[in-house]
Amino acid sequence: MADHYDTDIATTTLHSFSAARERVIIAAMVVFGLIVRLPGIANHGLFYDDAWPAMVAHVGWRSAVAMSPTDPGFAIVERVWLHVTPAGSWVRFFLPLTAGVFAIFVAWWLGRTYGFGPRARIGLVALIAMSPEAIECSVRLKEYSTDLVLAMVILILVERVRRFERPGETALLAAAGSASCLVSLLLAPIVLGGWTALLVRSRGSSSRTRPLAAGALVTSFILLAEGWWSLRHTPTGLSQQWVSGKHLVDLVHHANWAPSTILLVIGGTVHGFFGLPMPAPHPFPTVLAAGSMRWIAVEALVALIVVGWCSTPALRELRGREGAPELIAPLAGILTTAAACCCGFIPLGTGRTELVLLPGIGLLLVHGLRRLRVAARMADRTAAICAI
Amino acid sequence: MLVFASAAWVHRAWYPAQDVRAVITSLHLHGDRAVAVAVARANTFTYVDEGIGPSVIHVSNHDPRGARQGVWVDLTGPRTLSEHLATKTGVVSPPLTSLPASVTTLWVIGTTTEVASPSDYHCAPGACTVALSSPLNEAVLLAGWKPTGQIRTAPGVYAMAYGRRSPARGVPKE
Repeated sequence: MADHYDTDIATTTLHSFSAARERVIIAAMVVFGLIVRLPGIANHGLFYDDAWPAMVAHVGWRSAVAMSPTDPGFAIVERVWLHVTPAGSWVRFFLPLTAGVFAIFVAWWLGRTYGFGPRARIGLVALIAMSPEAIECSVRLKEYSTDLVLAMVILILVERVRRFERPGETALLAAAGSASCLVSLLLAPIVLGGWTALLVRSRGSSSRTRPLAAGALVTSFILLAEGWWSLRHTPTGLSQQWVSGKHLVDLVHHANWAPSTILLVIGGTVHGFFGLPMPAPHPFPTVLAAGSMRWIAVEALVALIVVGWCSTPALRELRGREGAPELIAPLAGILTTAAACCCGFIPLGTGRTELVLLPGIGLLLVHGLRRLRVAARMADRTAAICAI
Repeated sequence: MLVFASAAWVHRAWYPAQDVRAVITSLHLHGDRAVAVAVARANTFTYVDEGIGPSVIHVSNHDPRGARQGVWVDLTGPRTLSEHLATKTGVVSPPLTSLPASVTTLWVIGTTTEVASPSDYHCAPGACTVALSSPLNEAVLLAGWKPTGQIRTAPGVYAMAYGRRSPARGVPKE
């Protein structure tokens, strides 16, 4: 099957971007990413939100899994890791740090799989290397930097299934998607979004739909079983805490909080991904300053317009017109995650849980920048200056 | 790109360390029978992880003491109390009334605003050293203890000394 990609931006420009130059810039990004992450490595005791998950190393296997209903697979890995590393030592952070730095490489692979040119790939790599939330989660013991890597791997596998339509790729996506969700249930919307996008794209062709439907069915069955188990083991107070903190929508008991919760979710996400200010009084950060909501509302509106505009090629494709079919899966992942938040399943805007959305949003944004560049008929030099 | 790189540099990684071991070491307890320690819930997990003293970890999603994480900790060392989420019997285990009359000083080990969640709020060096009050501090006051003004600090944590209001009432004899 022929590729659906638009002509690569690099081939439309007069001066091609050499592979050597790209390698040097990517290497510089990796080094920069490492430099901004290293200051978070500490020899002190774990802070509260790292210390309580670390209890998995001090209890038996069954208790460790039971106290990690949303990330049982990661808890097992973490339990082993904490057993072999000394308490109060910087060595413990090697695991999340490795995942955080590895994510920068995977971002390059993601851009390559999605047919991006060298400049667009560099943009995607920069986003993962420099996003404040990705930086911070690289030095926290929880699963979020691993989630970031796995979210990108899932998007890569989805795109490979769409491109090559080989049964082997479909089986690999089913296996990797299910396994990823066992590592962390936060990845479920990304996996489900990927399958939805593939099924939507294959409608009208039963030979293409059949293996995809089988893969989606197997994955959904595993996800349902894990979701049921997770809901049974999740402490009741946890959801209430996220709802009262305005990170989770509760349409049944607190429907009137929904508008402000949605604004805070978007504001928190933009703050985490791009470091935009989130006004809060000093020194206690969980109480917003008066007038903050107006600022957050403006941020949220701008974010929605930008992401909406960047999504138009995917929407055009869904309406049967020529667009960008590769963007349907990232968009579906974002929408499924947003729906999961609105249905009270996944808290967002917390500074960590929404990290699984960063690759999808990155793909949309970088694709949008490519469109802007083509539309503005920007020369190489102008584009480089604008980028810098 | 430059703006984004600058933002990344401003938001470069940091760790909100909770040095519970350092602050407890600074108290020079050495088995002093007149001194007890009450550890705030936010510090109990670090206490266990660092192996500072004996403990029992409970895992249950239905017990109110584990209401958010499904896990809580009892510190079982001599004259060592731990805070948990509120139940009908209070927030401290074992109860403050179980401390013998010979205990005249109680150190409450709490956290500072530096380690308050969300953890992405990065305080400037030296800022955010304000002591966070937890239900434990209130329970100690209600149980007839008063602050003596002695405070020790370490990154992310503080130890605040309380003495008994005299005469001590309702406390078991040793």
